[in-house]
Amino acid sequence: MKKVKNIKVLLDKYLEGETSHTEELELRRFFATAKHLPEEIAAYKPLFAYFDKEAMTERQPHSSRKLYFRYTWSAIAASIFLFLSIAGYTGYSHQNKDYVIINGEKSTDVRLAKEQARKAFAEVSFSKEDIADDLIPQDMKETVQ
Amino acid sequence: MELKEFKIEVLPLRGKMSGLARKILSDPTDAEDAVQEVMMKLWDKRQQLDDCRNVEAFVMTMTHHTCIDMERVKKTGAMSTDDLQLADTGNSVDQLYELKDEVEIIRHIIDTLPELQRNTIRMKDIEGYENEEIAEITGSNVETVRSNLSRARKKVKTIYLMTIKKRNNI
Repeated sequence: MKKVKNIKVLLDKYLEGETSHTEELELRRFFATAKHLPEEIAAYKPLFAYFDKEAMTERQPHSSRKLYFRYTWSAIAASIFLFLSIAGYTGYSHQNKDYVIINGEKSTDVRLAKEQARKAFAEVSFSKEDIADDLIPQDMKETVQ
Repeated sequence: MELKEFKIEVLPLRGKMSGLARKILSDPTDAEDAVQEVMMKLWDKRQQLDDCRNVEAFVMTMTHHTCIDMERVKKTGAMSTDDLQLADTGNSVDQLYELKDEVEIIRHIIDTLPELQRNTIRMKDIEGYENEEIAEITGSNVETVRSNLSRARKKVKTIYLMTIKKRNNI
């Protein structure tokens, strides 16, 4: 009963805007746990319940700011990872870029590759006459002769 | 932007804001209310102020708009915003008593408070600032903050009791 009397004094101070934040927390705690409130102060229960609820969600903006930074760091980490993987990949292919495929098989044997190349060029090489045949149309060739 | 930057970048503009407010609003009390209201809005938006290129221009524009709004309300009603709010009370009670949840009723009442009172109650009861801190942030004095807070709290209580009474009578 004495407690209720104290609370009433605090409530009067509260209505005048004279309570400190600590005193207001005390009021909130009282109304959050109190049962069987006298009628004249029962109206304050939802009021302080509302403030309690809002104060809880109020912390959201701060955490969202932190979250924003966390995303920034994740973004930086992801970019570094991406850069390293691309660098690693291209570096890797640099070391192994000198190879040929002979009959469907990968080979790094230089001698074999040269020999195969020479053979292939021999097959497609042609004489000067062949080139003239290709370049000059048939009817023109007759007039030239 | 936190309190330190706010004090450096926004608070020194208070004199200029008051000058502008007094030019638009004839009543010096209204001008002071308008400046306080703008300060609270700015404090509320302090995160966005970091991205603002010209803080002073932003602040002055906001002051201008707030004053014009206040002037408009005054002209239409020819009474103080407080009286206007009380005239509104009947309406809000009519809508509110249908709400089952008492906490929701409180939320609605606080949402319909005049901006200055709503912001003061928010800073004190929800964000947990002391009156002195609120006075510092808004560049006003502790007594003004206390009186705004008191008006806001009494009003919430009155409207709430009216709502509950109406609900119980049905």
